[in-house]
Amino acid sequence: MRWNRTALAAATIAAMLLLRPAVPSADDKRLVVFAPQTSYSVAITDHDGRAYVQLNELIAPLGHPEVRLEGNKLHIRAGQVTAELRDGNSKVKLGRGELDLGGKVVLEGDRALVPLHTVPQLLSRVLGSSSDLHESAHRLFIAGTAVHFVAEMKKADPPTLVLTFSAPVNPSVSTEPGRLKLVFGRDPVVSGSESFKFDDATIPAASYSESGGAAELEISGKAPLLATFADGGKTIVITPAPGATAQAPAHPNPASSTQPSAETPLPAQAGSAQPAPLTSGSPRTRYLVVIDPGHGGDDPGARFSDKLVEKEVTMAFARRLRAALGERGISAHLLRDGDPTINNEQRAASANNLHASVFVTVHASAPGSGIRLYTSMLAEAEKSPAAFYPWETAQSFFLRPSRIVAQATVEELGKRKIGVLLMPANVRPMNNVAAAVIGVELATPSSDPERVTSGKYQDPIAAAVAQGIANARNALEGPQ
Amino acid sequence: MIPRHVSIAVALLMVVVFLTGFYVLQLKQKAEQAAQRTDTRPVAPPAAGPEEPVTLTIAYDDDAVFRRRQVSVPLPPERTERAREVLRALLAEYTQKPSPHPLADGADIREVFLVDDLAIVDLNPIVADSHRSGAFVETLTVTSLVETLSQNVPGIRRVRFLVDGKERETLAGHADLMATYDVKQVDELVRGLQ
Repeated sequence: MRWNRTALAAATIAAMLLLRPAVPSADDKRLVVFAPQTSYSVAITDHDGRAYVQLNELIAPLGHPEVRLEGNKLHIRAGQVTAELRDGNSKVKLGRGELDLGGKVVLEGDRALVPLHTVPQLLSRVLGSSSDLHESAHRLFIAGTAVHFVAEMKKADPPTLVLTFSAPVNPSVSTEPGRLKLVFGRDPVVSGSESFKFDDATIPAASYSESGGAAELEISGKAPLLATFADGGKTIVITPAPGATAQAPAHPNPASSTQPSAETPLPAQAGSAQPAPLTSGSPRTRYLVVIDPGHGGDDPGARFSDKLVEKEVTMAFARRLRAALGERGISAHLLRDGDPTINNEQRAASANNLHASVFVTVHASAPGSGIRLYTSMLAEAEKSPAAFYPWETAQSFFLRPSRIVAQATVEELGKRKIGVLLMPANVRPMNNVAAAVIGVELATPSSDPERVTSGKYQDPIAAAVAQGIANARNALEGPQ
Repeated sequence: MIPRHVSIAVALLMVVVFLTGFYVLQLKQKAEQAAQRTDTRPVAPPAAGPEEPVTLTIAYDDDAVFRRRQVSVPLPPERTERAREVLRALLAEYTQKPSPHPLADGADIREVFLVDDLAIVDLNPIVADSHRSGAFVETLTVTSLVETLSQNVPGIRRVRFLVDGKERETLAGHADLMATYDVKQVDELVRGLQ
């Protein structure tokens, strides 16, 4: 019994430490289907060198077709339409008519495999829905589900590329030196053009491509670029990272080619699909504050009243804090400036990609008053790693700068007579961020929930936090 | 002949008695339905063993403090079962009404695994699914669990959490459940908030 428990515990720990989500193999081809009611994917298999999909699997989510096998014939009834498919035959009986698929049907048990290229024709006849197949990219759009976009360059200072979509999108954002990539895995984004040229030295071009069920928009940049979501995910704004515009020469100068323009990794708004490891020797070339308005999108956070949820409170405070930092000459970047869903890994990855000097995660709750200020509860790491910071405990190497910022903020709150409780806490994603990190939790009495979102309450706190961050600057940038 | 006002008073009294009876019946039915809705899955039987003193570290939301309280709890001899019973004693404080740090009825510890100096606490889903959302209240829950465990089961230096046997990112949107909690750090926090 005792041995069994020990074995179980060991297995649990081994699983916790070693198991990672299975990565699909490159050969695992799937057709991604975008329908008005849902999106899903079905397996693509090879038969005689041709791509096939399973018809039952394809049409099941689109309705409730009745499938019946009789000998070597498969009958499908969807509404008023009946289809009869025969094994090895390229012709499908549709009611009284017939449809030539241009490729043989393969029956495997009660499943019918049909050539991929015939899918739009079949769906049109069986379900009466028009569809658009992007065969080489393995993407199928049913009944006009495609989301279109326009790209508009606004030649302001800084230059701004505005991508406006016909419906909200939530791409994963990743960066490589010289480019920012938006990958639309779950959004039916399409484009009529494959390349975009902009009359701008900092953001000169973009290209669109599709493959493996996803669409990808790659934006070239001569400076580190930021992507910011707005208008509930219908707009993505691409701008040079704060303080980075100067790195982009207005007129290319051969002499400047000896200085790599993308020495630091390019930041991204919503993070990479894989959290980017930050090396312990990575440079921080500017004092940048990354503000994380907690929650957003599908995740409302705490509920204060029927009308007020935490994600709205944190968004309002984050904007006030950005303005307060701006007044003190400090660059600040919001991880969301609207209501997209961003997970915690993406938030931490974005902060790390941006090489944030200070990361402020904002939360709010009831009951309470004043604010609660958090630093990580991790034990302090004894020395920096030789190469990469460990993801789960990256913050353990930055506890000293985090405490400097927290202490400076407490002093500023005290000057303004704002009650503050400073304590360690492991609030996600603080531990994954390699920067000075504080968590700010706005607290309000349960009897007066609306107070927490008012300017009268938030403005002095935003000013105190901004001043604290400003006061900590010399200590953070100097030798530690 | 009974005076008219007495007849009216008696009639009103009868109505009140009838309505009160009806109301009590309704309350009883609701209580029975609520009891049926609670987690009916089998849980481990109550611990058997001699009563021993246990020091609970209890969170008090309103005062933002932890207070220690000694209680007597029947503790089995097996170490992991003792660890579970200690934590159950803490949850009993939180699920009673009124509670200084309310958790939902049915909040329970499924299992505690002990490997060297690491304890893995497997919470039942009720603890997390019905937990109030907020960095502070979630941190109080996690901290009091870690502190109570480490104070009563010698040798534990690190604590991790599972919910219903699986890893979970946060307790209710804030407190990090992917982190390994260092008992020393947690103890410092508790001392700071006593």
